[in-house]
Amino acid sequence: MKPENTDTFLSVIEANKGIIYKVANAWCQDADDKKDLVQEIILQIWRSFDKYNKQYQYSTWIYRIALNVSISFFRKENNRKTVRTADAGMVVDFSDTAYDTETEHKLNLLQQFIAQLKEIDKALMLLYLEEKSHKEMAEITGLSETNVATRISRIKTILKQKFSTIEN
Amino acid sequence: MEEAQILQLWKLYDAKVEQSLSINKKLLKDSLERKAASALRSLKPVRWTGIIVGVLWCLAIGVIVVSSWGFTTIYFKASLIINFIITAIAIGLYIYHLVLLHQFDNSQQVVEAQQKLVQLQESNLRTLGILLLQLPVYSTWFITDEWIQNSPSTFWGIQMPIVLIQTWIGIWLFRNLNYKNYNKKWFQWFVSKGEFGRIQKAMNFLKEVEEIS
Repeated sequence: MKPENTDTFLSVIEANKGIIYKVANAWCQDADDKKDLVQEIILQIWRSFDKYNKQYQYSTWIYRIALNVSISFFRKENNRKTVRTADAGMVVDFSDTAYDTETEHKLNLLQQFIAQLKEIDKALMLLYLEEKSHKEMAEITGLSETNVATRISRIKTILKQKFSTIEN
Repeated sequence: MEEAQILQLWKLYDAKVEQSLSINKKLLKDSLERKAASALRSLKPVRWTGIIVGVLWCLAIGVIVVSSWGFTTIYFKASLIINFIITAIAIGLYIYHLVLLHQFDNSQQVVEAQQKLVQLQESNLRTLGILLLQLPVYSTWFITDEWIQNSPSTFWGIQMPIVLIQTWIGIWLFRNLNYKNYNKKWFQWFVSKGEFGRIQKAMNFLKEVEEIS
């Protein structure tokens, strides 16, 4: 990659770091796995960066990579140890700030709900929460808009039920 | 909790992530350069080595068959020619595999990328299955008419069963070495844990997609 592209790459990562983190957070509960996944997603973005298609927004393009990497993410135990030793310093750091207790509780519930979903539903749920249109969701996942709409409506119903059960 | 409230909750989380997440650019740059180099080192060269060794092997077989044509047995010629053809097909598949590797792009639509990932590994397995088909030729190239005539008991009683067993194993593996059998233990033995884990996840995803289509 050319040096000027490296700078562009770093600013794209900076601007879209939230997407990468949120996807990794939905796929991995273990903090170390999460860090590994974040780094793997960034590595794959870097490797695809020269092939970036300007037809898409950076966020759409990054969602595709982040979801593709997360869906097939599998870290062997021995690889894990090697990677951690090599990257002693942390590339991505998340310094947690607290909410009020109720928000924290609701957010935990929402994240638990997302973590329990099947892969495809998890991807759609994230995109729905990001308020992507059905068209954008279809563009990212490769599903038809009709399939996206049906699936989203089903997930929303389950989500509402889940929250209402807890609140009652 | 209403839909709007859930979306609002997510927005709060989003703001928190944006606020609390920081990236060490210097460390990221160093880490990426190191990792990308090692990832490339491990993938394509394995295929290139297979292609180069395969081509050299085919050349050697070709030279041996042609130069010894007048004084070798039909069993020898047939065994080496079969070996040559199967190795040549495997080289072709390895080249196809390199093309797939080159074309693989993580920024494709999710369904398409996961399908290609499975296709890539299936092509790898197909190559292994084809190579295993040549198993019996390693027990047939030294057969002679004299052996069959002078020692029929060792030939039909020992050699022929070995050839038949190898043929059966080769054909059985060729037919069964595919991801339809991914939940069987013998199959998992053939595929590395990491590779298997990734493919299993990609296949589970595609199964979910099929269910909703």
